[in-house]
Amino acid sequence: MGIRAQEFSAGAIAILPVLVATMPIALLFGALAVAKGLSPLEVWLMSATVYAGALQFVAIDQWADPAPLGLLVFTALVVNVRHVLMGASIGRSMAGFSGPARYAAMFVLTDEGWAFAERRVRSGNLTPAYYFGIGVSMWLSWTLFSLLGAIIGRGLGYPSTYGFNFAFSAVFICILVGFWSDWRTGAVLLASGGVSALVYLAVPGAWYILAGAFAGVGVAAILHAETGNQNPDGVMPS
Amino acid sequence: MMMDPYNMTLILLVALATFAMRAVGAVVMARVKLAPVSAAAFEAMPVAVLTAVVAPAALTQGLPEAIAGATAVFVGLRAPMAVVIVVAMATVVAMRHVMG
Repeated sequence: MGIRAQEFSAGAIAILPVLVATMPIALLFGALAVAKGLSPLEVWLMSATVYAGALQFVAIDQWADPAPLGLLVFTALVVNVRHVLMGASIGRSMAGFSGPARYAAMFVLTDEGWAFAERRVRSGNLTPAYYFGIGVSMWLSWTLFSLLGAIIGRGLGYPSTYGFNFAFSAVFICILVGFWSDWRTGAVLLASGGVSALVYLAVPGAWYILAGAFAGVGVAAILHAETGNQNPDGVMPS
Repeated sequence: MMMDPYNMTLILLVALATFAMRAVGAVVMARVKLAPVSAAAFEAMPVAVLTAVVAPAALTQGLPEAIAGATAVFVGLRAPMAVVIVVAMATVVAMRHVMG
């Protein structure tokens, strides 16, 4: 097997637990979307081109006949603001990506795929093949199973009954544990988690991610300014 | 299977808005050279963003989720991810059952 094929399968294998956890969510999305009046083909088109789990559920929730165009586009921008931060962060580790590959990589950017890519950055080198091993398998799985859900329809049961919605939290926590380096990581965690949870409770919408992220990044910048000499490589050396 | 032209346009517009958000950060950052303090801030970005995503789900949804989150941290120190996922899901379901 060539090095590219090896990297590609390494990415696809790493993301496998997430694929398993996503399957029932994708099935549910397809079933809900059909119940709201979309045809299976439209469900597939949305999963294939929008390709954003959280946003798709919000969009389907607001779907009507005719669907509110301005509201949905605005919602897409707001719900996905977090991807500006994720893209900006992972974009710094994409020196080996060609221009078109960079755009393709951003097209398949998801919270989970991004977290796995950042983990790869820390443990060595993020190659395009590894990244697309994650991205392509997630895209295939999401589109396939949401189409399947649309065809099978209702009667699938709700995944929260089985704890599937918490699977993603478990994945993120697991990756966060691997990101720990020293007390400064703890300070960023506390600031980001505390502010995010408070804003989530106080402000409707998806602003809590931005608020928490900026709080954490702000603390990192302050700590760097105060302790920078002891740690010239940054707050969390990789 | 049919595709309504209005629905199709709408879906593609939402897709475009989503892609714009994903692409803008990466494309801009590829062209920017950072001062040390901003570089430190960017180093912390993965932890900060990931924590902000997961904190409400683990901390504000009730005791079962909080306990499962703490369990995931503990198990995550030693076990591979697949094990962490299964244990966390089982904990949520069990705790919801116990606490009604």
